[in-house]
Amino acid sequence: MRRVIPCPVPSPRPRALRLLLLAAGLVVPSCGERVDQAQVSATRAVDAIAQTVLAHRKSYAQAVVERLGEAHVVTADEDFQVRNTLPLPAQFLRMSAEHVARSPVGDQASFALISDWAINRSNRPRSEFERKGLRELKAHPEKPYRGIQTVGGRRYFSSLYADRAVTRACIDCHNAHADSPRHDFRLGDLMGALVVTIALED
Amino acid sequence: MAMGRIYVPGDRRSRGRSKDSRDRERESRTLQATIDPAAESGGEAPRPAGPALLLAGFALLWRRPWWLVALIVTLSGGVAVSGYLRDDPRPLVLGQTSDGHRLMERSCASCHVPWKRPDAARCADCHQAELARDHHAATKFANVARWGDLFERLDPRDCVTCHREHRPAEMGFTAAPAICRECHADIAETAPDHKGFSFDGCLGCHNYHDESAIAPAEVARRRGEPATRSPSPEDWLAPSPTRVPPPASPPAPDAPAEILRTAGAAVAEWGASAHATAGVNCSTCHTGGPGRSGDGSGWIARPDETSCAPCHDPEVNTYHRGRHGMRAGTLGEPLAVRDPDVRLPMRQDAPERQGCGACHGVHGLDLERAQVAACLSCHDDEHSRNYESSPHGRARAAGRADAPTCASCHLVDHPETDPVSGAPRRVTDHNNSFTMRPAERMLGEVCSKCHSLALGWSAVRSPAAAQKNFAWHPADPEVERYLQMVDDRTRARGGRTGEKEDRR
Repeated sequence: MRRVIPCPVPSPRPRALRLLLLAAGLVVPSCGERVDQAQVSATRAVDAIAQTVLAHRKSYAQAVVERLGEAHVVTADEDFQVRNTLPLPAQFLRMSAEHVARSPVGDQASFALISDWAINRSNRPRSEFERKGLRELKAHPEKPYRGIQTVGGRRYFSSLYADRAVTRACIDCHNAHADSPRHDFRLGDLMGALVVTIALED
Repeated sequence: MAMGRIYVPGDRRSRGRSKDSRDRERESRTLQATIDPAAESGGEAPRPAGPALLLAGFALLWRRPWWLVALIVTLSGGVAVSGYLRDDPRPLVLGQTSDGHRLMERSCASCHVPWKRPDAARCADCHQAELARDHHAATKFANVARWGDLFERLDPRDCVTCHREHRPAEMGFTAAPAICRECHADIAETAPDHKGFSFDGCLGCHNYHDESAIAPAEVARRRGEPATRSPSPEDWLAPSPTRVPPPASPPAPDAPAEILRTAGAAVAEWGASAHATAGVNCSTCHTGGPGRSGDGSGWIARPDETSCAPCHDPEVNTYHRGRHGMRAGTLGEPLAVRDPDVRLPMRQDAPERQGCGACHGVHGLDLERAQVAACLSCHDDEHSRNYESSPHGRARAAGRADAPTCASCHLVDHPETDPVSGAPRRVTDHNNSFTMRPAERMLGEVCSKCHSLALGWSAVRSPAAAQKNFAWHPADPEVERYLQMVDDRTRARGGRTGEKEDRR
């Protein structure tokens, strides 16, 4: 049962709010203080995670996939395990997300790529919060969409960031894939969103 | 320790009773005091009850010696039964386990952790190879912030959500057939070509875990291939070096002299084998592998696969994952060919032992025999008996080097790089169950090397065709429909479609 409280972020009970976050090296202390301060801390935390994740993917896409592909050393391929090629940048990000999810902070912080045009259906929006966030990002891609949602009885602070086609590997795969619902992506197009979530502990 | 209300001085219920009644109460109180010392003092001061109980027990047994005999018999029986069940707990197994798990019934601990449900990690201990390309891997649902609401209805991270053991079911699948609806209720909207389909039939075309051979993208890729291709040298169908040239002059066997006196035939076989060519001597295997050979002490008369593992680790490791070797790998107890837990029919004259030597020969290393004859020396089911009359078997009898054998389909080869030398090599996956479940895996790993998807998929989906060892293959309308749907999608994107020609 999902309960979604959209942006602007309403104030959770200040006495009970604690943001548990280790992924970006940030620990936001327990509150009992001002609510807006907690919101600022939560926003900074998810922003830091998002920038870290996107920087890793950009580095991988440019320094590994594009460079080695142009040098005809190795290509990136969806079936990289079968064909002994490189994983696509989106798969690289997804693998990182799975590692984090299985780590000790996995139940406190997480991230994922979602899109209305995702090839893998599990990466399409699952909640009204995600659907509305994607709609907002299409209208205002420069402005992250934030909010608190309750999933499986637990409250989370989530933020969606515009995800653009950063390399030709992204658009080549999505445009050619049989399961892709859209085949006209160009470099720089909005492809979906990076959603970063941290758990709120009562 | 309250033992029931007997007598309490001043109790209104004791007043006005007859003398006999009071006497009976006193007697009762005395007896009660024997059992419960607190009763002597009117229940005021609790005293340790253990020694008194023990004394009371002895007194009781002294008065009734048959109780003592019954107690001794019960305890002895209990110890004997528990000892027997510890070695073989199969009488306690509830219901019927699946074919594979039946081989592990001797060890409940293979799946169960005391006082806990079997968890997915326990399953993955044995099924990691099958789950390597899992389309619904537990890691995909690890993001609880996205999937937590689903876990209230079903938990796809937990194997037993769909596979409850101890109840017979095809592929061990015990969930409701329409379970896919939980997540894919909107499939008719996102995939309009699925409109009108019943959720009961999802698993007729799709495989929950490994769809790599029949995923739409893979089907589209294969359907676009212009023509049939012959197996390339890298393929499993390429003629394998079944015979390594024997050494010009075999090295001197290093077995102890008293053993060599009666091992003439074995030494002759070994002298013409690949082992002799590679310098693998008697002591290498009979003393437990390289590094432990030497003076002949600790001689192993009948080495098992642990002696082969130091040099053939990938093969032995995968052997322990399949039906042939899972009991040896997990319980350290080789599975006898005619073990009562084996459900497939076996020949009465089958060799008793299983192991590397049973198929490859002990000293001669006959890889040719290991491909068909060794299998047929044990297996007596209809599929096996029909091999030699099948198109595959006839092609082999006609001398075609690339004709499929039993091993071609059930023990597939994979190209690998030698971790030590860096040289390319081919490793035979000895997990004989790997390509069996699901059948679509055999389609991708084996059939598609030569056959069209339509033929291969229709064949592996048909139990009747499998029984006849694919002497015929029925056209499967569901397969045709699936391929047509993929073709339609490809055409909608302006791509090429077309099926490979069937290779006869």
